[in-house]
Amino acid sequence: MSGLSLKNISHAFINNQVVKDVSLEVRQGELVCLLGPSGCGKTTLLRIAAGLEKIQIGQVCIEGKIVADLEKGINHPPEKRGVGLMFQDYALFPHLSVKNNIIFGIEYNDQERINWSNQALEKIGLKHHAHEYPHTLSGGQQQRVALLRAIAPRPKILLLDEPFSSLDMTSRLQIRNQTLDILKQTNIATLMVTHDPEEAMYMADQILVMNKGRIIQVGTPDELYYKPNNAIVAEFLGPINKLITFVENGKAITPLGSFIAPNFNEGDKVQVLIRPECINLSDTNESKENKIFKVVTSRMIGGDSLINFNVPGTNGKQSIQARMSDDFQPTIGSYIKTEVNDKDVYIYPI
Amino acid sequence: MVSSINFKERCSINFKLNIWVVVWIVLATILISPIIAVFIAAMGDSGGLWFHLYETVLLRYVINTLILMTGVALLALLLGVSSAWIVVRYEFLGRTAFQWMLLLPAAVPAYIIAYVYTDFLDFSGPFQKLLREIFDWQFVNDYWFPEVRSMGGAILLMGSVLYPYVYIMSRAAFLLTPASLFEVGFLCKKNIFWKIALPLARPAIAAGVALTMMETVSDFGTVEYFAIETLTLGIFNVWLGMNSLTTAAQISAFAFLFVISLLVFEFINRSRQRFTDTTQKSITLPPKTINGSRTFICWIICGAPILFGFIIPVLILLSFVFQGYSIVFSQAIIDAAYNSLLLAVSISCLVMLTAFFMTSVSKFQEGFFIPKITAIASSGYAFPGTILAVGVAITGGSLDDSISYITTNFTNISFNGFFSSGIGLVVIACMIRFQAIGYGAITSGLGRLPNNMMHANRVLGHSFGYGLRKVYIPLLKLSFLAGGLLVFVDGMKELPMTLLLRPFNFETLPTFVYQYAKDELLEEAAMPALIIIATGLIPTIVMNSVLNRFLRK
Repeated sequence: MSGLSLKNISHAFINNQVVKDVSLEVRQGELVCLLGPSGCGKTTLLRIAAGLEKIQIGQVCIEGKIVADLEKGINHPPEKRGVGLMFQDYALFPHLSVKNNIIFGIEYNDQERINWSNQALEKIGLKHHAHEYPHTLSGGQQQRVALLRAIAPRPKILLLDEPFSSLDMTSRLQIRNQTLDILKQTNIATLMVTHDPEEAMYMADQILVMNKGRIIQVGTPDELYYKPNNAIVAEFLGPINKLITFVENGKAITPLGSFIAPNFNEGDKVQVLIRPECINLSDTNESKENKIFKVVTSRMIGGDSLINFNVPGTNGKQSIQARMSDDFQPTIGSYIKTEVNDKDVYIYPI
Repeated sequence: MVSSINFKERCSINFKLNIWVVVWIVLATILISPIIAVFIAAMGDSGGLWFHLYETVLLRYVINTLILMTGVALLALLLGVSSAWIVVRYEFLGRTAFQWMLLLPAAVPAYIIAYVYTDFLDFSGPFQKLLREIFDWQFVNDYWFPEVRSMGGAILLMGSVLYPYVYIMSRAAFLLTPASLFEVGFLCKKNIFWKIALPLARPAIAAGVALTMMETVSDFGTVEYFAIETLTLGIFNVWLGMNSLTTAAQISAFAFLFVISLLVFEFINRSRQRFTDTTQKSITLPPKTINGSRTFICWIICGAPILFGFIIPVLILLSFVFQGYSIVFSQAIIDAAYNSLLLAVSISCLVMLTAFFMTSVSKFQEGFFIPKITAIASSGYAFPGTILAVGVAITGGSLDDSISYITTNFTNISFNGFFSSGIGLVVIACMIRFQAIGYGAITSGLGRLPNNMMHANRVLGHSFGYGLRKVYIPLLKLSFLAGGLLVFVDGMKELPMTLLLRPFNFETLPTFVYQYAKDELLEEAAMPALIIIATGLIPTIVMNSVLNRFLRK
């Protein structure tokens, strides 16, 4: 069943068009992530769905019912849409206790939801803080209160605006899991906005990558990471090496090897993108062969090591990074041999 | 592909009528129409009186206004900046006391200080009597004594109660200047007052001076008592003396130019201030400890304004009371106090409610000119009370005329006018004039709250009105209180508008004092004058504690 659907939404502020013909659908129980750099229009889209931004072009449907369509003269105010929205800054009411914040959106005589919120508070371990004020809570606790407040009135859809961005790195992982748990239990259609690809891949059933007001690719985390449609998606989803070259004999010639470049003409200028973990390194004693490079830096991060080497003939201006998972750690100045699979290489026109 | 022109059209129809916007329009009309009315009336025919005035007195009005404004501004600048710098920069015995005591003169309305000093220093006053006794002089011609009721006297007296505007602005600016900037000055061996503190505080100081000048232009009590013919007094005289509201409107429209130029000046300085305002926590330069004879100099510089602007006038008034004058609360004083209280309370409630309503509608309702008009509607403080009184009287009069036109032509009901005089008019005029205070308090309160509060309220299923009631009013309690208090005090000491618009026999404390001072019976009005000063002390204390709390953060 369709929870939220946006059809052909376009939006402009004065003369700056921030959303361009975007359509998307979130089904019940599904978590869809809008991923994109800041200023790409994703928050505006969220606010249009919630009714905080007046719709200009397009249509918003919630559970199959049109709630906003200017052509049809429909524009339900936010309070009539049945949406839950968690704000980036949480927007907890400072003059209300934790409990009163959570039940703010519940009808005062809805005993069932009040009981629910009591249980929920207990479940997330904030029962003892129920009568305290938001400013006494930690960032993570505030985040959970904000989430509970958003879902307490049992909204038809849930919108999350950068829900983890104000948390520090360590609590972020833990709170992500807890949030996923809560969302699974409520089985609600959720649209989440984030600029963090890792977060999007971790949380989402489906990711929509947005750039400059348009959706440029839709897919599961796997599809996006391993089959990006274009260079922007590939670069956005994680660190990647970028080499500019030309096509010769149907192949893109790079220092890391020649890769089959179908759909390109002879002599086309192309960009070749290779993820660091897709470059396989091995020790070698030789120095003058193809695909052999001198190590510039080699660093351990966690269980992996990051090895940088220069592309010969660029005067050290172009460097390539590889990520090896086992304890491969060449000494600086030593020579390494590279190997890259054709299938791990993305080639796009410039 | 959608063109951007298409979007523009869509943006312009964003403005949607709803009950909130309708009430907003009504309020905005009430607040703005008197100002517009002045200009419309000014275009009317005054039967040649305007040309007569133009040829005879207008130039004098303008020159007097300019001299008074400049003089007061210079004096306020001197007193305000020097004392502010001393209490910020130097640590000396009594520094903390001076910090708040320097604000005390702000509690004394200019007209009261004028009445008190005139009474004290006139030929028949105690000071000259004392001199005559000491030196055995007999007549006026035996000695020379400066005339209090003169331009110089007005400048000195008004400057000594208006300098706190400059003081508080420059003190805040000096304190907010990060210590590192002063340290750069030390390292470069520069005079840190002239080369660093003053240039950095200039926008703040200029804003304070502009406020002082606005107060000077709108002053009525002092110039009337001293018979200094400024534009404000001109309006009053033409209206009441020559009974020509049209000519009064014409002078008002002319005086308006003065105000506008001051407003522009203030606005430019404020907008520049935004850039220098550092919201980050900065370390303030620790004050330099001094002692010995230099402490004495500090005491003189900081003490003189307090002495002349507050202590002496209050002592004189107290001495009247101790001599037994106006010690009994006569029925007249009780009535005047009751009227003043009623007026001030109703004005502060009305101002705070309209300001809250107008600012929240302008913040949360769509439509892009609403915020601008709200700001304009709240600029009443810039208009001298006499101008606003003219505007309100004209608006009320024309409202009456049109109602009576309708009633006499279409019905049998006789309508004798309801809006052209009465306490209601005084209330409306004060409401317009003091709107700026409420607007300022609410705007800064709202500014501290995240916008998402209202959005959260609406997404959680509640209406705009519910959000105002349940979220914003509880959160803005303090702003309501602070703004309301300031309006209350201004209402307690308001003189010219009450004088011009009040119904017959309606006395407030200021009009009571005015009346007795005019009849040279100031001692009989000592108690009401002291009550006015005492209420004026409330915001002075509040202002100081707010500033201190803000700086301690």
